[in-house]
Amino acid sequence: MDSLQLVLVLGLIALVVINAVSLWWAMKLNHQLHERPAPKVYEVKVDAGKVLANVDMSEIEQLTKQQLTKVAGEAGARFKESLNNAVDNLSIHISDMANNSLAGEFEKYQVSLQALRDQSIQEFSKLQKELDARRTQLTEHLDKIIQQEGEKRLGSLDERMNDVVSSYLIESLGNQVDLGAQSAYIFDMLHEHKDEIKRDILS
Amino acid sequence: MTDALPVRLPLDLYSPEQLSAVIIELRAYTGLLRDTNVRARATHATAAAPHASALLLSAFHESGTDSIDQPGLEKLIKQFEAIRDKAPSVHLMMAALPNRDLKRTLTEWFRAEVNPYTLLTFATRADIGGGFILQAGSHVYNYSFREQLLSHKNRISEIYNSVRQ
Repeated sequence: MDSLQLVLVLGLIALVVINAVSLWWAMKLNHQLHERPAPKVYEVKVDAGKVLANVDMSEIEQLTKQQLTKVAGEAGARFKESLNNAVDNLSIHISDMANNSLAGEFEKYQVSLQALRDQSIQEFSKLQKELDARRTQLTEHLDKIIQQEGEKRLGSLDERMNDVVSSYLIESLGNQVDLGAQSAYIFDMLHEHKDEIKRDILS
Repeated sequence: MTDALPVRLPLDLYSPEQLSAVIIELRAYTGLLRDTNVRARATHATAAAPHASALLLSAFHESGTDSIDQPGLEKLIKQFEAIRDKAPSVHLMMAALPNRDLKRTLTEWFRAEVNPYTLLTFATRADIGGGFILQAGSHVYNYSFREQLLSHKNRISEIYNSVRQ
């Protein structure tokens, strides 16, 4: 057996001894723990009527109320302050949202609204022009119809008046014939149409 | 026609009916003149000219024919018959019958301006008011007052409007 083997055997033996000692120490500690005395439980009963028999209940109630009022006031103040802060923060937050987020949307909305407005204005302008043109056309047509109707009625009136005057003149002339006075007219007509008359007579 | 019929018609002889009547009278006149001449030769008396109307006398005068020239009268008959058959005829309608002077003036105008043998007939139409209607052949020229009034009726309203303004 060489020296290495000897060292190993010695080391093994030492290890076994150490384990045995550890087991023993652990068992000793466990035994000590089981042997520790259990804690005592004391049962105390206090009678409030007996303890506070000599204290003024109304004063306590008043003090309690004062304390409660004070605490409530403080809590309310704090709550109010907190609420104000929250409102301010919320307002700032909303303002920020409006400035940052909604402004763009509003801008887009305004652009769209402006485009729609421009389109509507164009449509209305076109419609207005068509209406104006149609109105002008109708007005001219109506004027023309009125003028034609007026001319027609005036012509009819003139024609009737001419008939009346012609009839009267013819009847008047028929009763007052003076060929001597007409001879100038007769010879003027003959001279004026001499060539035609001559051509027809000699043909 | 003028060369073939070198005879002038009197202005009082304006219508075909008058010309026919003159021809008939002229034939009778010529016959009477022949009988008178025969009787005068037999009796050795002077031949007197038969009675003739004023129209026939004016025809003698205008034509330059001697009223006792038998051959000249025969020739005149033939000339008048030729005129009756060939002369142009014009029909005039007036509001009243023209008097002798107007008829002569009208006849003179037609014979000077249209044809020297133009014959005219006259008729009345009271409804034309004045002026005349001339019918030559198949063509009618209406220059009556009635026609002028009816064809220029619009002038009445024009005149009325101009006067009103």
